[in-house]
Amino acid sequence: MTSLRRFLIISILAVFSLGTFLASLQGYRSSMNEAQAIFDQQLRASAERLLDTPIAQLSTPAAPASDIDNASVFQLIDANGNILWRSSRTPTTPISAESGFSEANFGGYRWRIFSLENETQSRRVVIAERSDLRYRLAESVVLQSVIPVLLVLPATALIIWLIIGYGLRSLRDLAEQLKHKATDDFSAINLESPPDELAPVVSAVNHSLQRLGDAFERERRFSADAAHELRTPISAISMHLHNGLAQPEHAAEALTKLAPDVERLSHLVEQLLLLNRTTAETFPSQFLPIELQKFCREIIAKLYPEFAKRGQQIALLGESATIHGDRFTLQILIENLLRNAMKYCPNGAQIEIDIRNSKTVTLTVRDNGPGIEDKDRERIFERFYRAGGDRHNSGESGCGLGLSIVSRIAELHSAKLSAGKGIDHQGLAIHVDFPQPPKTKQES
Amino acid sequence: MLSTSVIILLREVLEAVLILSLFMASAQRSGLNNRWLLPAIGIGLLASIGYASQLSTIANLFDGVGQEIFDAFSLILLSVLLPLTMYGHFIRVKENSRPAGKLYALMIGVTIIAIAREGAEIYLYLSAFIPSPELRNSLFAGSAIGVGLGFSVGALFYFWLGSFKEQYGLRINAIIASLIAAGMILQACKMLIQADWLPDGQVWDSSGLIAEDSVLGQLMYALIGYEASPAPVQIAAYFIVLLSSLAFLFSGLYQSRTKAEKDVNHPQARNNHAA
Repeated sequence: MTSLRRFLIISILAVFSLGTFLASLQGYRSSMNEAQAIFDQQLRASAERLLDTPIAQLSTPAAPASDIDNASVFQLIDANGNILWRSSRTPTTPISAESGFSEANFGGYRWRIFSLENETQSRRVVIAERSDLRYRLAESVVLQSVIPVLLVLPATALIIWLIIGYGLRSLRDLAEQLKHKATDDFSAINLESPPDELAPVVSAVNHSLQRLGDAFERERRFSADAAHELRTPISAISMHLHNGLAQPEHAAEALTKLAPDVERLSHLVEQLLLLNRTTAETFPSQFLPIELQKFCREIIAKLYPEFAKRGQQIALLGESATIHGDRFTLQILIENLLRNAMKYCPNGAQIEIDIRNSKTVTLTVRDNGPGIEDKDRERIFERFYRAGGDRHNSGESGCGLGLSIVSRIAELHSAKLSAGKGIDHQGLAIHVDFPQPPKTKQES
Repeated sequence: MLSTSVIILLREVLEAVLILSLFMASAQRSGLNNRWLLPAIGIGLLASIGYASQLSTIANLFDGVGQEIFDAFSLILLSVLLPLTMYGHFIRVKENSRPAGKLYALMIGVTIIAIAREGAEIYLYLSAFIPSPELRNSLFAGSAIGVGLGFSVGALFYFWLGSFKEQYGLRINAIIASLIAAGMILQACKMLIQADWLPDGQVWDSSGLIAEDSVLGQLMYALIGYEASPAPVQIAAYFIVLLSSLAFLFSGLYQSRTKAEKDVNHPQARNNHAA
């Protein structure tokens, strides 16, 4: 099919014409038969009137020519076969016809004949009408109802063409907009009141465009940020290497200075890889039910030696709650939140995981560390953002990707992320609000 | 008059339109364009006027049966060329790179012959009655209905043929082409019987069931060569052509399929060949 519009117009017109023409043809045939029946009825009535005409009153053997229509003739014949009375231009010999209706040729034409006998008066009347004239008269009457149907068809075709064009205008607009879109234009398609059938298409296209635009922007920013972030430790490593090579006697000192930068670079690369793994494109579409409290307990157990090393206290509070999610990424989310708290809190600090199950399932990680200023709270989930500059007051180095990854994972789980005050209005609290899973799902 | 005009125009238009629909649908499947169509129709219409103007001369040939012989010859030619054209389409469906010059020539040739034949009949019919003013209304109304019905059926037939998946569509095309070709040979035999070149007879009479001068009768005439009272020689010719055409076309379908399968199994061989 090359054109939807052409297909619709031609097929609708074909079906319409087929129906109309067949109906017209059938109507024509029925009307013609009906007209012939009416003519026959008139022929019979004329024959009956002629047969009842008193023959004694006739002054001449032939009717005056002016009274006889050329289209019809008659003969009044007695029992002996003598013509008592006849119309002009009628054969002078009796027309041979059986009683009732019949057809015969004479005078160069085909005739429809009706013959009626009056046995009491011993005479019969033969009346005939020219078949061609009868047919033509009937056809001219019937055609009056057929011709308008034919004449109106081109107008109907034009209206169908316009209506289909009007009906498909949204599709045409959509095609035009898509056709003229620049390769880097991810703005939404805007259709004026799209029909119900097209609205999901427009919505899906706009959604795809938005995702594509977001991904494009994300990748662009990511490349720029990553290049910038990677440059700093690489420059430092390069400088220490240069120093070490230039002054071999101080090589050990240079290598010692090199270690934290290599560690930072390694951490940065690891986080970048994690960030890449948590994009929507690489994310599994199937979520499994996860009992959050049990899940957090497992993670705390895994990280406990690190908390203990710093003398930090870790507590799991709240209640049992089940969410739907991906175990691998949720583990990264919780670990990143805990490591973030661990990293920025001083030794001996207190850290809590609190799980609340009401309208939504809320997971909160709070601490009583130094916290962050209110103005910075909105920005902590941005990539490569570090509160307080490149090195936090805690003295810990970071790459600024931990909370960004948390934010990405939360987004993939349709969870809302927010930051607030920590324990006793000190420190920092990060809240993750997960949507409630369907009731029928079982816990993992 | 209207009824007669409808039937005559419908019969002539349907024969040509069904062939055109079949070619257009096949061309679409084999990746050919329809640019050949308008020139072919134009030449066919001109040829029909030329044929009609020479008809009296042709009619006097062969002891006065020249028209029947000429008609029979053109029908036999069409019944051979039609399966050949379809065969060309089947081969090309699987080999898009194959040159399509001969295929275009075949389609144009068949279209010109079909339109010249049918167009001449229409031309003669209309030119005989147009001088009578009292018949003009019914003549034109009948012609319009006949042509309208013919083109409507043709358009729906085209879309119907295009609605099948390729695997079934090609088989349907093969069957339809064989039926049309067999119908043409049936009519060719009728012409030769009328010219006393073949023996007459009657195997059955189904005019009470489907009258030849009904719309359905005309549709079946164009599609499968329906005739209410065929002679034995017509039946024999019909089935010989039908079966041989089906065998020929399905062998073409099978060959093109096995060739495609070989290409799938040995793509390297094909690439080397193409190189």
